[in-house]
Amino acid sequence: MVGVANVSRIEQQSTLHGTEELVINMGPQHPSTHGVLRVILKLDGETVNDLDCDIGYLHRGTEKIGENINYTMFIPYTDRLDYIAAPSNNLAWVTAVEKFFDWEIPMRAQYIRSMVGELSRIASHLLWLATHALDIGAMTVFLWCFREREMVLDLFETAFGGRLTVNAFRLGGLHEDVPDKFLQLTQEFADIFPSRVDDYETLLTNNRIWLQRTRDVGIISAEDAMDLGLTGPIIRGSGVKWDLRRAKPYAAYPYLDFVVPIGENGDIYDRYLVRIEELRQSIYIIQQCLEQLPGGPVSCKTPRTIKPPEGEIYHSIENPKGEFGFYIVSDGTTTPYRVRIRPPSFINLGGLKKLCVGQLVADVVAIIGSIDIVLGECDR
Amino acid sequence: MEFTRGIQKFFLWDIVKGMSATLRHMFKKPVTLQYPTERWEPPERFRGFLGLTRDFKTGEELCIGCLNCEKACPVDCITIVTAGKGREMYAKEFYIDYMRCMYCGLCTEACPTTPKSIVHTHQYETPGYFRDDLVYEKERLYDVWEKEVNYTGPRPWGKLFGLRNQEADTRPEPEAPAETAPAE
Repeated sequence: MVGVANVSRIEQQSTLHGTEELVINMGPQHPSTHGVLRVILKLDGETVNDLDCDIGYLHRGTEKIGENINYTMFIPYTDRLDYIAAPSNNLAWVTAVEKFFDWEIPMRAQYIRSMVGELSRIASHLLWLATHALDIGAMTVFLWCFREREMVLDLFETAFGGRLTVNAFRLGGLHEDVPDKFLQLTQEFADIFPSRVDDYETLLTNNRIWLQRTRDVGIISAEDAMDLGLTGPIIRGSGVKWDLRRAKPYAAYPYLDFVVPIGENGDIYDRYLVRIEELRQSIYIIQQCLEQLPGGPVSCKTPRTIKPPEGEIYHSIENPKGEFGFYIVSDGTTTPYRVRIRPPSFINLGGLKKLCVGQLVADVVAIIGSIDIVLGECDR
Repeated sequence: MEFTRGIQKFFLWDIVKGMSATLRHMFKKPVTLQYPTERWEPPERFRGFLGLTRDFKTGEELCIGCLNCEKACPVDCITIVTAGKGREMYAKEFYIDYMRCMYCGLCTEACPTTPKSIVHTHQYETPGYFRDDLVYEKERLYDVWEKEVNYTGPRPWGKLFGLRNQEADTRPEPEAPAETAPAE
């Protein structure tokens, strides 16, 4: 409500003094645009009248690279799309290619994939919370979140050898079984992490500054969100129960129990609450995986050269940021004919104008933070 | 309910709670590592610098020049010139361009020999002053391995090479040849 009152006052002022529209440039080197996003804002006083996003500063032609190398070689490239949650991208590519074949992926591999996918969701949401809080002005949360994110990255390193660009999964399963130390450290992490989430909530959830900056700011209705094709926590914050882990289950999700949290108003605060609840649900899923983890092999028998039959396939999974999909056209050779990536950041960024117009310029930073974009996959 | 909320708001209850959480953390140990003085031990499966391996006892090169790693590399950072034919084949020249390498580990997975002839070592401090410094030729790749032989942490492939892990024993090997001395 505070925001609306301010807007009308500024409108009155601007007409009184005869101000004119001002075009300012935010980014691409702005610390709060989370990468190299350039936003061109048209301002009337402090109110945003119009905005335009300029993307492509991080374009590396990943889709074209995919047409020139074989299916296994592309796995490390998917790490570089959403580099904050690399194993999730690996999972999307690997499950998409496996859809061409009728391989039976062993259950142990499926469970480990789900578990590592949830760990990457925690890593992504922690980085989101850290930077989003820092944008709005809370420094402490940033340091605490990074402390826990380091623990998750250490887990990836123990299991697969890489921290950020993990290259975790292979076609047909995993390269080798995860060490016992990984399972043991994951159990330790799952034990302590819920109390750490409580710590973040102590600082933010009821804090009056946080509430003033986030409540009733950047509202988007469920209909608008669906029309724009938004996915992930942003659409769940608007009250739409859409989660691909439930709608089109992959890996071990059919056997796991979890709640899909939804918000009510669709403002920044609701998106924050949805992501905080997802952190808790992820830990719940990891604990279930650790309990139910079956033994056996971690990879099915795959041919030496992977040659999918002619045809096309679209497969998408629920990444931390939304629906992340691959559309692959195969011409029967070892390299794909066409690879198309459906990045959640790119499509969620399309909703930025709808969210920002009519808001104050200081809220643009908070709204960009709440969409949770990563330019690596947006520009790809 | 409304009354208690008003009281809480008046006495800055949310701020007090937040500040007490911050104060509690003041007495915790720092989690940071003072890097050049304090070292962090990479885990067993760490993917560091690539090295070419030798048989530990005979000092023979294990690479058979099959070019599998060159084919598997997504960024084409490996260049091999082979010599000999059939069972005699070996890599005459072997270059790894570390400016391109993305440490994905696909080359080590493609290697058909047992033990592996190309492995990810645990070394991670690898700067160079010139671009040419970072294109490693065969001798320097074997030097990387010789440094790795003296690495004391746990190694996933240690047993295959007859090297023991740290937990099992301290470093000195009974049959360790003296000629594979540390490079430093």
